[in-house]
Amino acid sequence: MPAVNETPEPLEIGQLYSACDPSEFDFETTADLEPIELPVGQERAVGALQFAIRMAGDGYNVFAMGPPGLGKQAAAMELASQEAGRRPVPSDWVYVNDFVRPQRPRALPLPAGQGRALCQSMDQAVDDLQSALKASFESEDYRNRTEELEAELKERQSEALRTLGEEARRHGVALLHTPGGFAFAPLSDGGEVIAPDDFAKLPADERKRIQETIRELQEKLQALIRQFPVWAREARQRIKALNRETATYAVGHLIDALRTEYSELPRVIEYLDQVQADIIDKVALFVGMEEGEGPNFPRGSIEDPLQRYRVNLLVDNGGLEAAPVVYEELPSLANLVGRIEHEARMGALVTDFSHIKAGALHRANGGFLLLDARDLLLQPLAWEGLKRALRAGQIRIEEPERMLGLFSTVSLEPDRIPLDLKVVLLGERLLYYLMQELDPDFDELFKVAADFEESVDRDLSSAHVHARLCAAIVRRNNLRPVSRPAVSRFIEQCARIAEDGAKLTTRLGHLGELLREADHWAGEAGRDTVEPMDGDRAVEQQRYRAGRIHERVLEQIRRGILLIDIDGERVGQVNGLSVVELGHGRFGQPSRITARTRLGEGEVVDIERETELGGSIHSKGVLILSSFLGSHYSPEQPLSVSASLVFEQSYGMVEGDSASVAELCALLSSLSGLAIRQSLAVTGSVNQMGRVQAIGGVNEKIEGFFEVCREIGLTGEQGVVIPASNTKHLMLRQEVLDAVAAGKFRIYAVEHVDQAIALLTGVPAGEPDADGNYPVASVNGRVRARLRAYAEARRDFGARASSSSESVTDEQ
Amino acid sequence: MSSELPTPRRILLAFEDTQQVQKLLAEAVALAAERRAELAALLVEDENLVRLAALPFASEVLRGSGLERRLDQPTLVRQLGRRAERMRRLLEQAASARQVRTTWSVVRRQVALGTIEASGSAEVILMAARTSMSLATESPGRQGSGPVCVYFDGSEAAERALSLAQQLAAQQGVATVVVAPAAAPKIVESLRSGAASDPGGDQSLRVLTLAGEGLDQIAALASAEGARTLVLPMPLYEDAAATGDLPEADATMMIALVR
Repeated sequence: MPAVNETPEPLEIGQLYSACDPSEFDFETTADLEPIELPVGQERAVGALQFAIRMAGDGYNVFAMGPPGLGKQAAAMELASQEAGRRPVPSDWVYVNDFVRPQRPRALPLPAGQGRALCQSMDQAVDDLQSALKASFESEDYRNRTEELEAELKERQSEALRTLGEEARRHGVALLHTPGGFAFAPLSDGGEVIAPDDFAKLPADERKRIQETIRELQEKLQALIRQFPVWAREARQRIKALNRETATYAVGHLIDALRTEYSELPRVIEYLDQVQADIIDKVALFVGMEEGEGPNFPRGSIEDPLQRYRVNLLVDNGGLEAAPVVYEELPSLANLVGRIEHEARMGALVTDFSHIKAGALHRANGGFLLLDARDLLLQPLAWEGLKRALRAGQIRIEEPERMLGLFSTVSLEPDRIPLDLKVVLLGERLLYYLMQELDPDFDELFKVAADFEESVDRDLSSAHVHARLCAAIVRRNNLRPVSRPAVSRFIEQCARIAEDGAKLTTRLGHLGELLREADHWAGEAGRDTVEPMDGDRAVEQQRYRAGRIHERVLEQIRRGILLIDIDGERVGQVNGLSVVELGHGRFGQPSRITARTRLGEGEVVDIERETELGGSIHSKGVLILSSFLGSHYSPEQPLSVSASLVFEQSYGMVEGDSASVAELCALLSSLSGLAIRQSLAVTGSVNQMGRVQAIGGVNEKIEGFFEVCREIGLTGEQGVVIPASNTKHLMLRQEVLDAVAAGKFRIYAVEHVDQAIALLTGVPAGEPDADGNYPVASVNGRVRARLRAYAEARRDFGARASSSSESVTDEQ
Repeated sequence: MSSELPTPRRILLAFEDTQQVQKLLAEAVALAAERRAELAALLVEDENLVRLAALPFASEVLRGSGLERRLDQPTLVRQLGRRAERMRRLLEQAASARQVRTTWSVVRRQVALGTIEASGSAEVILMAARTSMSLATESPGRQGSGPVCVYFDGSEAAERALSLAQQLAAQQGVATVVVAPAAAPKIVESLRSGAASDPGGDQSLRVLTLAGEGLDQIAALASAEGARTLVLPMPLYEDAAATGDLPEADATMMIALVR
């Protein structure tokens, strides 16, 4: 680098692009490479993930943070799967009916695989019980005994009525059946009911006697009829006892078989005891329906009366060989903690234990659950539900409607299930810091952060690892093999994405997109392997697809609507550079920056800030300019200048300080009266000492100005001035490199604003002598002279104003 | 074993209001459909009841509650009319489904007398007596499928009765119980050997003997067997009715008389 007082030379072509030499690799295509699955350069993050995944204890859940495309999910999935392989397969869980409190279904754990077996056993038992009970209750013995009991009651009633009827007969009265009951009627000698006329002819005493007799008989009949329900109840009790005896005999051996099968599981045995008691109590459910023509309810329907004995298999880990690793794509509350479904029946919503559905927490219990933090936070109540489950160490199925008070019908409160799992949240850094800042529970529940790097140092080793990453992506996506030169081109592109020739991006999402699209273009061209031109085409096509606005901007500059000069000289006017990001599109755009100066009180007016179009960082950069002017040119007298700065034809937000070198140069041009070459554009920030500092998007900015020049016409005088510290970031496009190689475009790297102003004006900035004076003809000398003149004028103006004021006072 | 029963052109169903009237009507319609016979339904109302209602102090004790209620003739007649209409509709419903021709009439007589008088040319007479109190207990296995019981004394009417009994048993899918007088051992032997030697015969046919031949004994035995239908030769029933020895039938039992 030249000294700050020397005008720098343009950068060499080799400084503009850090190529990857294919000869450094010893493979022909990616088919020869061993793929690598874990992300590279992420030792810190991978270590944190491993620690959290293996660390026992509450709260050692982990937040894997970083921008999308770093392979966070793949790494977490891989590490969790490795650890899961060392852990036992967790229990199955089933929900069964609580026969005493059906609204509180009971959760039963079973060894993996036995949940399904219990389900099938109970289904079979229900079918078998139906047959066995029907057989018992249709047996000759049972029928005889019930008919005996019925006949006994019937006989008891009939006998009582017959006895009463005989007593009535003895008194010359008949017991008759009416449509609604019974009646007593006096009989004639012929055995028929006496006619009204004949009755009227009877002596009064006789009539009275008959009526009293009938009254007495009616009272006895009433007493008798009131006894009938009591007798019927007694008979029912005896039949019920018979039913229990019959059912116990029929059910016992079937349930005993199940007890033997599950003898190691006391909670299942307890459940089977309750099943047996309930079946005996509700035996009519089984024998009340004909086989094959019973109620045609689908199995699992809430209307199926035998549903109460079936088993709801909530979690079936029978097919697993290791602990589960679950990624839930839609982490709603219901998908996390499970849900209770309802059936519409007769206009009402009803439910039972069989309608409980598992959530991701159930499925991942005993293993690992991966969730996208943003998706989780976007789902109402989901984050709170997850926290509650982790804090309590158990899964409670919550119905959002009930939580919000929208649903007040009778529902279920299933047993809570103990929870033992690790949660891995995946998300961007901003989310992590916001959650940490705003949620007091977050640190307690997510004690580990795995911070993923966005780039790694570029060397031969990392280049080779990236080549293996390419091979992994190719294999995973079943793409064409990528040739060695094409791999080199992709690695160069990784450096470009990292915005640093000495780094390689770890955002594998971008690399994956490029590889897939290059594969597509190779296919279009009929090639079996992906070659460099396919990679170039993929990059070009991405830029083209996103380039509509960029092209409109270039068109407006070409047509003179957006005013950008790329030749000639102007005082107080310079080409600044900015980066526009819209969707997938990202391009550099030159902007005209102008400065005007006059006598004043030392303020530099940032018109962008005054109109609220400038961000705070931009304003900071402008304030630094004031400080630089004062300390550099006017340290011993007041800075008596008033300056204004503006981004011409800018109607949107201006943010960042990367234009501060350009703004300073425009101010110095205005103060010195020296014109600035419009063939150059400037980018870089500046500090109070005039040192030029690195900025972002240097490649896009250079390419943006190059494209404008190319559109209007390259003259060989054009170029861009960049901070020297950005030189290592250069990864310019081939057409820019070609133009530089042909001497049609130049890139200058500067360390100090003196170098920039010297390049722009063609006049040396000027070094101060021993007294601190600059050469008169130098830029700095001219600026200082102008500022002194302003200071003197201000002093004279102040003296005149003071004298005039005193004269007025004296006269008064 | 039994002579062929000529297809009757007319079946008489005589019944009072019973709790199982719907089932009774359905069975009678089924028999008539199978025999392609006309079904003459005869609802017998107790004439004594109407007389009682005319008495100034007449009242009834309600079956369900035991409460007493005044009984007057107009109300009773209206009740009987409504009940008759309801039963007629039930019969029409059952008959139209099987395309059986029916006639409907109501008489106010004693059941036995009314039936015999109205039987006319009917070759089969079905009778159902009034039920007593119902047994409203839960009895899951009860199917109500007792056997068909028939009295067989060797007469021609008894031959036809046996034939009908077997037909009804086959129709209902139940066993046949033949009751024969113990005093006629040849008849009993003939029945038993006939049942045993018939290779394609009904294995569920059982033969029981009865010491006496009174209708009350036959009815008691049928009741003890749990029979829902008792088939009798008509002369036997007529004799009993003439002497006033008609027994009180089982509540759920239907009597079929064969002329």
